[in-house]
Amino acid sequence: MSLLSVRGLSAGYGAAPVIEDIDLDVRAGEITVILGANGAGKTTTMRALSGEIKVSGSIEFDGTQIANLRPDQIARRGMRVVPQGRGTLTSLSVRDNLRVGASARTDGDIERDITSWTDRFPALGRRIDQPAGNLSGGEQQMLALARALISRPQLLLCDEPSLGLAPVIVRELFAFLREIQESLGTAMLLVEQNANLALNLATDVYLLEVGRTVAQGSADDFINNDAIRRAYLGM
Amino acid sequence: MTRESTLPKPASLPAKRSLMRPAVIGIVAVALLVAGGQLPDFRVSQIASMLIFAIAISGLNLVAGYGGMLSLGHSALFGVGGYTTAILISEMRLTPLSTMPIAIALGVLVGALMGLPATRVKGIYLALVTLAFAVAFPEFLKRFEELTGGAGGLVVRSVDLAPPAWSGFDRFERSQWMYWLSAVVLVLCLFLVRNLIRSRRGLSITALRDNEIAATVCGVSAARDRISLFAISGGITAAGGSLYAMYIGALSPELSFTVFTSIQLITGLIIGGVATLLGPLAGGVAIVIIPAVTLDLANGQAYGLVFGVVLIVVVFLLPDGIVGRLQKMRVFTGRSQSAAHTST
Amino acid sequence: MTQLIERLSDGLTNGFVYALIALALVVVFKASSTVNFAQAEMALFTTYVAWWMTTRGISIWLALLAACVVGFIIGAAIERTLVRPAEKRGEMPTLLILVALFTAINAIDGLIWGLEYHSMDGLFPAGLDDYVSVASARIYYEDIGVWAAAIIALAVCFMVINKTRLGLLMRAAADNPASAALSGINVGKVYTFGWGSAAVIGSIAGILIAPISPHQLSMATMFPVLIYGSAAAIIGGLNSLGGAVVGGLTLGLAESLITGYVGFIGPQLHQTTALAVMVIVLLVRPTGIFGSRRLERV
Ligand SMILES: Nc1ncnc2c1ncn2[C@@H]1O[C@H](COP(=O)(O)OP(=O)(O)OP(=O)(O)O)[C@@H](O)[C@H]1O
Ligand SMILES: [Mg+2]
Repeated sequence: MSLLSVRGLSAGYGAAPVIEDIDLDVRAGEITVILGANGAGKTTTMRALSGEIKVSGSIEFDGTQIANLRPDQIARRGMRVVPQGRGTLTSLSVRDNLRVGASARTDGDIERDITSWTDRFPALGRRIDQPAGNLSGGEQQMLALARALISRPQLLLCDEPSLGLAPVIVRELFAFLREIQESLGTAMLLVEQNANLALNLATDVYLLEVGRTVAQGSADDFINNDAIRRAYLGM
Repeated sequence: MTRESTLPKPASLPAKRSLMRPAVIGIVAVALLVAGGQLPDFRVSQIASMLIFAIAISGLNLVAGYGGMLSLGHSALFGVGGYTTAILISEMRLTPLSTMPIAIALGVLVGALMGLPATRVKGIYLALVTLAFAVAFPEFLKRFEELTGGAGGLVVRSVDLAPPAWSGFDRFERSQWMYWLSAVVLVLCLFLVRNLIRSRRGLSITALRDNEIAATVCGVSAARDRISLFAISGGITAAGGSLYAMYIGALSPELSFTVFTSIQLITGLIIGGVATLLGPLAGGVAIVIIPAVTLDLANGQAYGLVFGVVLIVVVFLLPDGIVGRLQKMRVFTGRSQSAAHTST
Repeated sequence: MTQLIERLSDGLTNGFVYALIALALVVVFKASSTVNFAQAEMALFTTYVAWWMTTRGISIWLALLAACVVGFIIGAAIERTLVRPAEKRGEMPTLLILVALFTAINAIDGLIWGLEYHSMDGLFPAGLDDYVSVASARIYYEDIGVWAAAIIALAVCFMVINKTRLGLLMRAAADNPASAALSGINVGKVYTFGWGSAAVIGSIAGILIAPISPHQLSMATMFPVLIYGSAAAIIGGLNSLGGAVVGGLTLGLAESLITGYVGFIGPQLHQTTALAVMVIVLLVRPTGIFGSRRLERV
């Protein structure tokens, strides 16, 4: 069943919409990926889903309509974003960044979770009380992931998590996402330029071109369909 | 005119109109002024003060409207003009008119000084810097008491303010004289502002307001343009201050030249319409009428409140001001003023 | 020596009050990237409220509490109903609204409470004999009380901001509002709370200064405090809480020493001097002494 179900979604920044009439489904517990060239509207789609820009159309998340709710309302319903550019709270310490991520939680286990995340990412643990602005790009990406995941979301949106990371780190990152999905059952909607890795990770794929979905299917379809691969993925 | 309008030839129209329009405006303006001069003396005097404030506001308009830099310091420029004139008349025995160029020159100087920081800071920081001028001015007046009369202020004897013989007005017709003098100065100032804004310099000024980075890349020198904008603005507002001194005859730091005066000028500008040529005129009318109307309310104490409330209401409900609104409604036909003058 | 100590004591008293107003300005700046020109006038209003309550026989401490509550409500309401809609229109409309509030609130005070100077009871004993001698200089309890109250208020502010969940949300919303919202923080609510808290800090400052101000409690009481407070906030760095305190204390001490010892400036050019220092700091180091680089939110 669909955790996130989007119908006829249009959004933009001014008069003309940047994305138009998008239909999209994310199944509970599965990883879905959006592929597309630069400027295709992938980030815009993410911002529309997370409530950062006004939209028309329907966005149903976990059975309720969330179109045009505020970002914080959507976040508190269990959908978290790792934004393009990472959204680091640079003047706050790494620990406080994680606390901010968990701020909607009311249980008492937050400090313990912070420890378990820093165990997972020792680089964050070593700098736990330093300003997060001092972290390297890759470390900030980890922090952004941890900040989102510490809230225990049902759905994680990731906008180009691999941007600016070294290839080996990217592979580690994808392995990590897989692990999270398998262990916690977190559904994910991923935007990615690196089609190869993304197709390996995802089960469902959408291809976006100038603001419209031009192809969709399972990851296997995309890998096996030479026409699509050549036409859209250049591989 | 009627023949022309039945033959729509778009290409030739602007050329015709560019001659017709100023002529029509000029005739209407003179007719209005003559009519205004026939009103009872206290009305003429009131209109003169509107014109004087319109001058001061059109100076502010250059910086805050066309330049997009909010100045809280124009009370100081207004005061520089006023005190220069008053001191020169009573200490140096100069005739009122002959003090004006000096008042303007000092206004230009202080304006340029105020514009200097504008090359480095903007927005709220610039507002604070200009606030510093507004606060410093009355303190300087009190510090240099021998010259300025300090907190007690300065009174110019009314014989010294008599209209010059060549004007044809006698000393009992000072309102009429101030009325015509202010009108002429206002027209000159508006003409200066209009030409400045339509010049290359003016284009680069509005370009700087709208997008500093792009404008600087296109070779606009932000520093030079901002300083000269403040300087000219200072000259115009000081001209208003100079006339104000001749008009009112008595100056005091706390009554006329505090930051509240700046706020009045700003309110007038916003009511009239920022970055519109005639907005300051509407603004001058407004800031004279507001205290007059509210004088009866609570012993005149209400007018600070009324200014504040009016300013808030205008910011939200009439952000283009009166003149800007009329322009958008295309009340002024003919060559579109809005293209060159409205803010974006 | 005696005179020096007494001047330092005076300077410290004013400095703490300036520090409080500067802190309020910084809290507002962190929320709305603007300088609240009406901050001190809002404080004046609540100080009048407190004074009015004392004239009805209510204890000054209770009146202080009431003033803080009223201040919080006014601050929060102004943010929610005027500042936030103005922010959507840009920086200039926001400034205009604050300037308008500055004159409107001042006029309201005059309308309600009149133009006279009122003498207001302080929070602390202010008799002629209420002092301790330090090297034959007299340090009045009144001054010591102001220091103590300001230190407690400042300490509570810093505790709240750095040690509580609410403070965490405030810091996050100030640091990166978009990202804070994506983490589930209702940024608007946090800003409203920030404006309310700033007004509480201002109310405390007003009630501390009014009994000892040369203007007593009158419409002119708070304008100089705004000038020194904003100069202090700029000098310290508009986004630095610690800078506001250092800036305020420095200005307070410098004011009383300069007035005492530098003849040219004398008693007339007080505010000019503070503002001149502010302008120089702005030109040389626009972020202030302790502020961080990112002063304008992108
Ligand atoms: N804030 C904005 N204001 C106006 N237009 C924007 C804004 N952000 C993006 N756009 C426009 O919307 C279109 C889609 O941009 P978007 O950021 O969604 O692309 P993208 O698919 O994420 O590209 P990339 O792979 O480079 O991140 C582009 O043409 C872009 O110019
Ligand atoms: Mg993108």
